Order: sequence, then C-alpha cells, then structure tokens
Amino acid sequence: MAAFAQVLETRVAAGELDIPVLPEAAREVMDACKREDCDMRELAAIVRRDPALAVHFLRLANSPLFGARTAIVSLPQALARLGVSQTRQIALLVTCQARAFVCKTRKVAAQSLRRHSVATAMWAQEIARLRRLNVEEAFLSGLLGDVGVPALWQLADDIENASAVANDPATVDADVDRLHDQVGADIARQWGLPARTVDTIRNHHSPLPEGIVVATGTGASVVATVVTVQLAATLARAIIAGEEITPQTTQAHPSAIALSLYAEEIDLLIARTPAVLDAIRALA
Amino acid sequence: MSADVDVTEVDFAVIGSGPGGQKAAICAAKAGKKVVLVEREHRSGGACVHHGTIPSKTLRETALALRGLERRTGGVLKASLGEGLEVSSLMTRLNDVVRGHQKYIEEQLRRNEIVVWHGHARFVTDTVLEVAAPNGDRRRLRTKHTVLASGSRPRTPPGVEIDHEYVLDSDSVLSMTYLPRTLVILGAGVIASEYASIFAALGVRVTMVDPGARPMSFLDSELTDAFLSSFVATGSRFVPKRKVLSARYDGVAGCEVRLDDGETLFADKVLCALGRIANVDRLGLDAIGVKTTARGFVEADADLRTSVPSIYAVGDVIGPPSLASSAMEQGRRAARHALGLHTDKSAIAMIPFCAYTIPEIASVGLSSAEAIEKNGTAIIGRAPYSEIARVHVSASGDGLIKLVATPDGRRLLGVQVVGEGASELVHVGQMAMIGNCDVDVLIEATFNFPTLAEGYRIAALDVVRQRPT
Repeated sequence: MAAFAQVLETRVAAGELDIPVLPEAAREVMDACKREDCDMRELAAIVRRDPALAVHFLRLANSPLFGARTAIVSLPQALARLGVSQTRQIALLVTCQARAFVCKTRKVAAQSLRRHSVATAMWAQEIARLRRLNVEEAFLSGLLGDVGVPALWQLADDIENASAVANDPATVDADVDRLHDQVGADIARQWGLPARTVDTIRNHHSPLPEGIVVATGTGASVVATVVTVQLAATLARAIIAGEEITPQTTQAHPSAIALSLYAEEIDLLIARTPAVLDAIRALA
Repeated sequence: MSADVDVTEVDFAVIGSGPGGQKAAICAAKAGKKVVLVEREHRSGGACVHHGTIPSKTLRETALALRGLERRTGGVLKASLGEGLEVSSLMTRLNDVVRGHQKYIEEQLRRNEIVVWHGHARFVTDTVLEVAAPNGDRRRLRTKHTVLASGSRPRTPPGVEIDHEYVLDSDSVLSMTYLPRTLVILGAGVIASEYASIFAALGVRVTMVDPGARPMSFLDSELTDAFLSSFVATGSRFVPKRKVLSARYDGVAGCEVRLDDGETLFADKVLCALGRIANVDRLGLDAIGVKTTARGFVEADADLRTSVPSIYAVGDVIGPPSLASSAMEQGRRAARHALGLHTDKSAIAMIPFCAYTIPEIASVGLSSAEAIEKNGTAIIGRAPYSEIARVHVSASGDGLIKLVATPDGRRLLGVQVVGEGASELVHVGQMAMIGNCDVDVLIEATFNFPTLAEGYRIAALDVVRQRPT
C-alpha cells in the first residue's frame, strides 16, 4: 500500500491529475463580471451557450434564497435578479457542483462533500462579516477548500484500474486527506482565482503555528481566512449532522479563540443558523 | 470577590492599545509604575492600525502615486488601472506597513515592561477589573488608576443595511475584493471625505451624500471649497443637504440609496461613514457610576478624568476630535495627571488637525472666523500654491497656505493649509505659534529653495502688507 501512496504522490507532484476544467461559459462569466462595462445582456448571452449553467441560474433565481416573489422564466430576468456579483459566485458554485464535486464511484460521498462545501462557504462568509474580513474571499475559500478531494478520488480509481490491485480504502482516505489541500490550491490557481484564495485553500488544514497570532482587520493575512474556514468547516459539519451549535463549544474552538470571537459575537454567529440552513437547501 | 479568580495588583491599568492607550501606559511605566494594558484583539494598535489610519493612508499613497505619475513626468509615463483590479493589489505594502508599526508598538511596550492581557475588560468596582479571554477564562486586576481608551466603531444609522459585502462601513470598506465602478458614500466628515477622494483618484465614480451644505463643515470654507473643487474635477459628485432614508443591496445588481427628496442613487457599493460610537459596551461603566454623554461618549473633564476620580478616558471613547494625535496627547496627559505630574495645558490648544484627503487639509490654532469672533477682526495672509516655485517643479497642483494673525498683524493665531504636503507644512506654523514668534520671523528666516515651506514667507508678506499703519 505504501507503493500506492508513492504513486499517488508522484502523480500529484507531476501534475498528472484530471483537474476539472472550468467550463468555458463559467470562465467567460467570471471574466465578464470583472469588467467595468459588463452588462446583463452580455452575461445572458454567455450563459445561454451552456444549457446546464442556464438551468442552474434559473433554479437559483427562483429559490427563496434570492427572494423570488414571482416566477422568473427568462435568463435575463434571472441574471438581473442575481446581479453581477452573485452571478460570478454562482457560476463558480454551479461549476463546482456539476464538474468538481463529482465522482462516479463515490456518488454519496461527493454529494455529502458538496453539502459540506456550501455549508462551509456560508459559515465562512458569516464569520468574515463579524470580523470585517473579506466576505467574498471567505466564501470562495470555504467553498473550494475540499475541491481537491474528488480529483484525488478519481486519481486513486485510475491507479487502481491500471494496477488491477484493489486500493485499501483507509489508505486512500488518509492520502486524499493529506494531499487534497495542495491539489485544491492547484485547481483554484488553474481556474484563475485570486492568489489569496489559492493560498487559503493550500493552508486550510494547517494548524496555527505556536506563537502566531491572528490579526484581523483590513489587509489581514491569509491566516485569518484560513482560521475562518477552519471554524466554518466545524460549524458546517455540525449543522449537516443536525447537531446543536452551542455557544460553549464554539467559544472553545481554537479558531474562535484565534479570531478573538467573544461570547456576544458567538451569539450573533449562532443566530445566523437558519439563514445558513436556507442557503444550503437552495444551493446544495 | 470571587475566590476562584486570580487577582493581580497593579498601579495602573489601561483598557485599549490604540494611540491613546499606548501613550498612557508608556507614560505611567516610565514613571516607574506597574502597568497592565488590556486589549480585546490579539495585536496591539487598535482601529488606527487595523481598520483606519494606517490602511487608508497606505491605499492613499498608491492613489497619489498613480495620479501623480503622468503629471510629474509630463505625460512620459502613464499609469492605468487594469480591469478587475483587486483592492488588495493596491495595498500590497500594507502588511509590511502594519507589521512594521506593530513591531514598533510591541517593542515599546516590552521595553517599558508593560504587560499586555488579551481579553475584554469589565469594571467590577472602580478599582477592580475583570478580564475575560476569548475562551472565557477570567482573571482580575486591582488597580489604583485606570485609563479607558477603548476607542470607537462605525455607527449604523436606521435604514442603512450594512452587510460588509455591498453596504460597507469604514471598518470593512477596504476588505472589498475589486475596486467598484461606482460608490456612494454616506456622510461628509473626515473619514467620508478621505475615502471619497481616494476612491475618486483611483477612477471610481463617487457620490458623496450629506445633510450638511459642504464636506467637513467644521473647517474653514476656503479649505473645503478647494477640496470640493478637486473632488468634482474627477467626475465625482457631492450631494449636499440630503438625508438618507435607506441604503441597501437591492438583491439584483448593486445598491440603492433613497434620499429624502425622492432621488434614488444606484451604485456597486455603498460606504456608510455617518459617525462613530464609543466602545463602552459591557465595560460595566453604569454600575460604577462613570457618566456618558447623550451621544454615548464617556464624559471627561479638562484633565481627562471621568465622573469616577480614579478612572480617566482618552481618545475616541470621549468623542471628537477623534484624531490619533490628540488621543496620544490625551493619553499622556491623563497618565501624568493621575500620577500627580505637571502638564503644560497650553500645548493641548496647539494640537494640529489633518484630513488625509486628496488634496490634504491641515490646520492648527484658530480659523479666520474664530479669530474674528474672538478679536473682532483679524489679518489673513494667503500664499496660493501657484506662487510657490516648488509647486511648479513638482506639478503639485492647487493649494493654499493661509495665516491668521492678530489685528495688528504681529502674532500668528492660526494656520490653515490645503494642498500637497499640508500635513507636514502646518508644523512650521505650529512651531511659530508655540514659540510666540513675530510674523516677521517667517519673512526673515531663510527657507530652502525650492520648497513648499517658502509659501510661509509669501503668506507672511501678505499679512505685513495689511498691517494697520
């Protein structure tokens, strides 16, 4: 089995991974959203070229999350409701769900990972709001923290198929766990995401080094976002498992301490639970 | 007192490590006192370092460099901002700036043997503080004196739905990923005006809305007129005498701001800068009888003493002027008063003011209106930047040095400057005032050539020209 780990590591290091390609339409949407002269007609034209993407936009625009009161039936209407910034995020979200968080041999696990990623993203943006960190960066980093996992699952399957020797599931899990942050960062980099998001994904499982303190506020280092994603992932696991999120357990979390989240801020965070649940239902 | 909570005896406790808290702690420590400084955040420095002064000035330097490049090179070099520019890329030096500043602060605290406790402080009695760490651990301080320097945070007016993503406040505005195309700024005070001019210089179309008739209305109108003229020249807009009924992300394509005259403004982002409120929550001030004003600031007398004699308050927590420079001086004076040390009270009147707008505005002493109110009349000497050689060499743009003198034109009462270098230039006038110099000193003195400071001679000559014969 050590041989399996070695093969996996060598192929990851060599970049021999089936990295999910960002669909052309999603890439164009994200690029267009950055441009000053971007308008909704142009966005609609891009999205229309990818039927899967178009369907997702319509579904989300009609979801309670975006406050639809009347049925939205056209793509321009849907995009107008979602707005430029939301459109950019959703293009990425849809891509993740449709292309990145999938694995033919692990459908249930992939579904579970999708839910966890969306929940982590939602909690991360709530924490970021509290600590005046960049909300969008926290969302993206939370969403994509585990984007390397399905790619590694696929690679493990490929190795198994090529060698005709069955993988040991425990070893695969351990190796995926160990390598997924690096692979996730590579995917985010290839998708052209901001460097800080790539750094956060690469380090999202790194323990806070002894003696390092987390400075929040303007221009905070990626350590603050890393710690935010770590706390968000814990809250996401709890909310998906249907466990009660208590002030005591949250306050005792090392990331909450690192972020200087005091009792009153923890209370504000927990009060956002229904909104996070709504978002998970709508997005995942 | 609770038996299971450790109690540490100190001479001096300081709550908050911003500019006021730091100086109070250092002053007490230098007097040989045992000092504990309590800070809610992991790092020292307060909002000044993490949200306000340092980050916004760092972004401003980038804006100035971009704006000045073409002008200063006579069009040889041009700088344009690319599409989808990340705000963080305009502040790549920020981490170095903040780290450097923090290192200096922490070294100063260490050198003076000031112990820093990380946690939230609450008064149990007027001489006992309980400090709760983020993980809930508690310990207590018994102290002879306390300086409260807990700072302030942005105020959220009714109807303004701040989400820190679309509708931001001055603590979250620089967390934006991308430069917005359009920005509505609610308010026209110093913070609002600084951000308005910085973002306008970066090519953002800014609309500033305020109930007042002009920005920074407490300043000499000649200065604010110059600021406004420069701001409008960037293609931005100032909407005076309008109240904001609501501001929110419209859930569609951006933010909408409804005004009391029926107009609705649309923008990618909104910055709410309609004042700040004191951080006094959960400090237990009511229980020990520390009084606050109607606006929620801690009441403090001329010696910075609160209604409880052993407790002093400095900086933003006592309200305007809310400047880092005045907070530092207040911290030092509070500590000296508490320790029974002499303080020169005249120096406080000489604390200069500066707004890091583009162009900069600075003042010290009396404005022309204040001088006329006090003395019935005043002589005003002006040096427009167009008359200063250095301005032409450096392509510094418009500006003005304004001297306010006594009716006989002999003594300086105030100095106001608008334009490049204003924050530094004002100190020449400040020193002349502290030294009670004759205005003629500014004429007789030799200034380096070409410098902006030469403007002092031009303005002083203007004062002399108007002296009564």
